[in-house]
Amino acid sequence: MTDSSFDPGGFFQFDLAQGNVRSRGGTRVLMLSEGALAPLIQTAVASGDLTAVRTLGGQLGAIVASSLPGPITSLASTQIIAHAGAAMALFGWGRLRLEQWGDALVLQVDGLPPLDSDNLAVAALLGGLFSTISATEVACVPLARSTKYMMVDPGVAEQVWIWSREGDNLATISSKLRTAGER
Amino acid sequence: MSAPQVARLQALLSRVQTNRGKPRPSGNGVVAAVAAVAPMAPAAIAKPSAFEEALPESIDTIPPPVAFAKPQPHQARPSAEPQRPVRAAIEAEHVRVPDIKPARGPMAQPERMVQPERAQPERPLPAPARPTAPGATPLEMALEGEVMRAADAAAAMPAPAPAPAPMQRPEPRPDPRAELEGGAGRILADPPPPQLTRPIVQATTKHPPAQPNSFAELLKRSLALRPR
Repeated sequence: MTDSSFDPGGFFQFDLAQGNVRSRGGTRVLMLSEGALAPLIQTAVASGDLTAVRTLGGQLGAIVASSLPGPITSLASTQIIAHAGAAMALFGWGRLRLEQWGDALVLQVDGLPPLDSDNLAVAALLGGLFSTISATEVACVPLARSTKYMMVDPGVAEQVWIWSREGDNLATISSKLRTAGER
Repeated sequence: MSAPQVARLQALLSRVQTNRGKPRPSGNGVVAAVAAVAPMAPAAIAKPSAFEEALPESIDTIPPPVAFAKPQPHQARPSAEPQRPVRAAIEAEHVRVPDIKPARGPMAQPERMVQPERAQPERPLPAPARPTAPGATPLEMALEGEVMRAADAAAAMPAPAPAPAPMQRPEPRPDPRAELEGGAGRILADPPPPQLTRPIVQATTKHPPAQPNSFAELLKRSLALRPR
């Protein structure tokens, strides 16, 4: 995130007279503690509906996309990650990094409080964020016993999730995948 | 000089004394010089030199010395005392010894029994003198001196340097292109062998490093992954 040109100054506007807080772009936000958010997240995971969290990720992605200096097709991954990480940090969703294992892109988020045991809420947040940035449906599958998330097509997300739950590490999962069209 | 040699000298002395006055065909004064030497006690004789060991049985066959050895200043040799009987013996035998001034009298002692200085090229000082038998005769001293000088000269000469190895010119390497072109080719430029365009670490890793492609391209590859 050292390559970030993201300006956090004035990102939040506090209207104390009216009692509201708005982010850049005019979206009203509510600030709540992690102790209050964690039960909500766990309830959503239990019900199998993390749409709200994914929507939140989409809103962050819109903020990032509006702050980028150019179209996403012409920007390097470092610039994209720098802007995305800055937006996540402003909302208190930890520190974002990007790795590449073979052809697979892997996100890593550190510094988050425990929200759910399988990190499904963060996976939903990341999925919404990068889907908005890239204008393509992206699934970020959480890898067990880590803070890493593999960015794959939603059609293979279930398989990657099963491999990770069965104990395969990231290298093994990466080796089990092949590029589409490759024999 | 060993005891057998002393005995041999004594025997020769007695033989020479019996032949004194007889005409000598060769006029050799060495015998007389040897006869003038008094026998010495074996205890006072040092270890004989290699030259004395190699002396022939008949001393009469030894050619006369051309000149006495030049005394070296660092050699402690008795010079004046033993020269007198030698000079007397030489004059008694009427032997002309070159490089010796004529005597003033029958028993006159020569001023110097040394070889006159001649223009000689400077040479390095010989090695430290080897021990000479105390009381050695002038003949022995002279002969020993010649031997010593010869040995010193041989020792003073530097060892011959090994002959330098002959220069070997590297054989010209045949031009492989010349063979292909029937020997008519000519190398205008010989480029170096091709180098690795990527660092060896990157070339040996299992997965190629991320290319500086756009994020969209990388995400597209990641989304294209399917189970094998």
